Amino acid sequence: MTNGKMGMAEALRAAIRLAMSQDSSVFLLGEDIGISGGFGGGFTVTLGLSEEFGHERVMDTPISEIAIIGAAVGAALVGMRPIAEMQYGDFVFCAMDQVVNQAAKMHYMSNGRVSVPMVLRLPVGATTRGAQHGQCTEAFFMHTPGLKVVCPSNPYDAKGLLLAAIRDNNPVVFLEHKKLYGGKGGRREKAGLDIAAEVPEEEYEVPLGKVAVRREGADITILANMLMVHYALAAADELNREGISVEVIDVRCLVPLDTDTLAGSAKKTSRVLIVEEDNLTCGWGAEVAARLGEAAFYYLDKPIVRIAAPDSPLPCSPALEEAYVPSVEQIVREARRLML
Amino acid sequence: MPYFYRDNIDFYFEEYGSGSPFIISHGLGGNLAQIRELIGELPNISLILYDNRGHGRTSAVGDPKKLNFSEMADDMAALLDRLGIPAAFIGGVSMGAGIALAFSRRHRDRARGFILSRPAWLNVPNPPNLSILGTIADLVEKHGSKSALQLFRNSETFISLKECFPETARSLIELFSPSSIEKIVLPLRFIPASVPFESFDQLQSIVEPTLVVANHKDPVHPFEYAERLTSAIPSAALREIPSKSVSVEEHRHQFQRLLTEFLSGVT
Amino acid sequence: MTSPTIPARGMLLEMFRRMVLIRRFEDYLYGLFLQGLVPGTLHQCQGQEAVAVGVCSALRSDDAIFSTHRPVGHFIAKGSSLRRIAAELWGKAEGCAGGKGGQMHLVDTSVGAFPSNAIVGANIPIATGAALGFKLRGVDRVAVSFFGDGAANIGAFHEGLNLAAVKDAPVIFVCENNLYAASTHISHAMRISSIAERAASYGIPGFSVDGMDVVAVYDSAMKAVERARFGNGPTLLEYMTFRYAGHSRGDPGGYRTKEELQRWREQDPVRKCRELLAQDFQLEEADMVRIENKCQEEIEDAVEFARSSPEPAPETCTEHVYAPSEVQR
Repeated sequence: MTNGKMGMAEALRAAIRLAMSQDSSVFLLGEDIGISGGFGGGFTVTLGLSEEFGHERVMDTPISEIAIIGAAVGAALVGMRPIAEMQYGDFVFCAMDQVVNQAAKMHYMSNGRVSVPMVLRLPVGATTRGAQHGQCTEAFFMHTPGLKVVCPSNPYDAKGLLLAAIRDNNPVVFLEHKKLYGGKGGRREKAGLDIAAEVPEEEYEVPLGKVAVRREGADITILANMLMVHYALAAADELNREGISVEVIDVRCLVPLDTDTLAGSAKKTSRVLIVEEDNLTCGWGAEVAARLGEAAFYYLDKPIVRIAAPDSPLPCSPALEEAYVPSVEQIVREARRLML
Repeated sequence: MPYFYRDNIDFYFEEYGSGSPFIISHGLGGNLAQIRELIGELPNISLILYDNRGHGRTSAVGDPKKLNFSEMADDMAALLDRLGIPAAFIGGVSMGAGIALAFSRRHRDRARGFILSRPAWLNVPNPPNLSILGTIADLVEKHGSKSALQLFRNSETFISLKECFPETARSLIELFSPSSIEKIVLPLRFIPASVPFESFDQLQSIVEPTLVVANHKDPVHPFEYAERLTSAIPSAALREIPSKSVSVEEHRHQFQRLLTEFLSGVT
Repeated sequence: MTSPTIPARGMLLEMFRRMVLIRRFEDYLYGLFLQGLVPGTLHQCQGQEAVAVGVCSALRSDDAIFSTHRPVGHFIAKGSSLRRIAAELWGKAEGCAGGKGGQMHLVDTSVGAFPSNAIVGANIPIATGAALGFKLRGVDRVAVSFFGDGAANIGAFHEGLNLAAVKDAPVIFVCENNLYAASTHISHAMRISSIAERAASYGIPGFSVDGMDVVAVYDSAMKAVERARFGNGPTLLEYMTFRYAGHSRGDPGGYRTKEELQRWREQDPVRKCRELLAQDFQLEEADMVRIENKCQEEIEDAVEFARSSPEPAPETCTEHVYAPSEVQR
């Protein structure tokens, strides 16, 4: 932390530390999260926590995604508030039954008799590690009733949203983009963004179910999440110089979805551009586009445009990844087209 | 829950009555049912009985090297821990008396008093009064329990024993009953080879009220052992009761009376 | 092997009563099913009563059980309300899950019975997690995971047992080995002949026990519960048993022979318990018939309640997707 600022990893750590000191039912499970002399999880988020809270509450597990998430479900059922971590978000697929058939459905199947107040943290996003270490997976979970889905784009939101997620009585899938973690030295992500920002030391929550208008504008609404928010803001700067006024909304919570605010913006600008890092087909952009089509059809001047990764697995080579992940240039181009 | 777990062994135990806790261990080859039959209920006493490792309903023999008085005393302490009892009257019959003596060395602060009935060991391993046990172990190992029992019944030793000490003879027959050879042979080999205490000096520091009970006419439990223990333990008193070989009923009756007196006198 | 400890008279009587309740309830349901009067599916457990009752009798009401697609026996054994079970089978609002769960997803947290699971083996790591939760909270409750022989081959079994072993979780894994996973005989699914052997791979104790003998089940379960409750970690218990009925409704069980079924019926757990009560505890025939008749009354009342109670309102279809989110401090 420099000049009172912190990156997203630090902010997440601060949230976890706060939650764990206030509530003894909060505990962590995951691989390599608490090992003494270790790295504090895949991306340093849990660094130092086992020294503070011990190795029982910062529970290192074998490589057992089914058991990690299953055990989180079980612990949550008996009144704990577990935070389970997948070392890479892509590994959640090893345990989809526990997420979709178990965590998401228990409250409903039991007619409200039990609940599963757990958080599942997923590091996501392309970082030249190839197809099985970089997928953005929010669409799978947005589609699953019973789950909440959160995806912060900055340290302030990360801390507030994580605290809210921990206190929520539902299973929350919490996506963290690897390029936004920040951090120093060996664990620092190459080509990651430095988005260190002032994060208040005291407790605060960012409520789930609300999007955030990052930049107000009149001509185009750009909806984006995680890393794409930063690209959208960069694009907005450039477009502004061309006289195009862009409103950028950070869709930091996909479930519950703040359709009202999104529709309000769409009605205001009448042009909507959605930017996501996930594959195009059935990405969250498709759902939002459908909803806005219903809510704001008669206000739109142009069809809703989605910029997304192509429908292919993620390639590893940096040159190919560049072609895959939406870029600032792409956003600028599509925005100009919308203005024609 | 009549099981407690220690050291990879599920120990079977029973608790009944209410009042001051009194834990009492059975003899070699025996089980808690014998003690239950012998003592029954005692007024204002919560009786805690258990099957030692390798005996009765306790599931396993465990590591043969742990078939010794120190380990068995620790098993007894573990049961007290399990029941959340800081201190109790500690007693035993025969091998059980040895366990109580080992307990006095290792867990003195958990004892409110000692009851040593018919001790069969002093501080010498494999004492002569227990040589018959080695003979039985040999027989079982060589011939299996069924044939060994038959051979034993037909042996001169047994026949003369039966005439003079019918109860002793009967109790030796019981040693053949466990269904596994291991459960018969291992306790018979390892436990006699261990000792409850090393030197008589160790007994001199016992200040807790101690009742020593013994009978004559018992070749396996020499009366003089009881005498020697009584003189070594400052707080001990010796009481004689009729041998079971003379009258099982009387033995039981008098033992219950002595216990009741002793325990109510102390509490 | 030491012979199991026979429970006290009162306890054994209650075990008998619960086994009778399960047997007769399942048989009664089957009769109704044949008449087309049961709305949903049925996965029945006749023949397996001793496992449910023996294990649950070793538990406290605040110990947690995690059951399967065949949950009726476990729930009755744990003391759940027959009326609420029946109503759930009929998909009624008064059912224990408001009609949302159905036969495979019973729930009754008042007796420690968490939602039963229709995904084979999924409750294994969940039970491990519940046990870890108890351990972290410092309470001496234990968790039990019920599953069948088929589940011993699914990934969740491996991960759940291993994690429990490594963390000394106070959980008991109970495998009801009835030799068939749906129609697949165990010899086609594993090279080894006893699931209890797998315990060694995780470094935990494993025992294979006669699941038709409620006393043997109870005894082995008690030891395992003791171990778990006092910090000595998990146990794998394999109970050899048999389901008289097919896998689910309408399954005539053509993959098993009449002789095999007959052999197992000769070990009938309810009858064996009855005989034990008569021989060892001198229970009169009249007493036992009285218990059986009382069970029958309770069953008929429960089903009548289920059939006559109201359907859930259509609006409730989308209720309870999410839990209310009050901030907890």
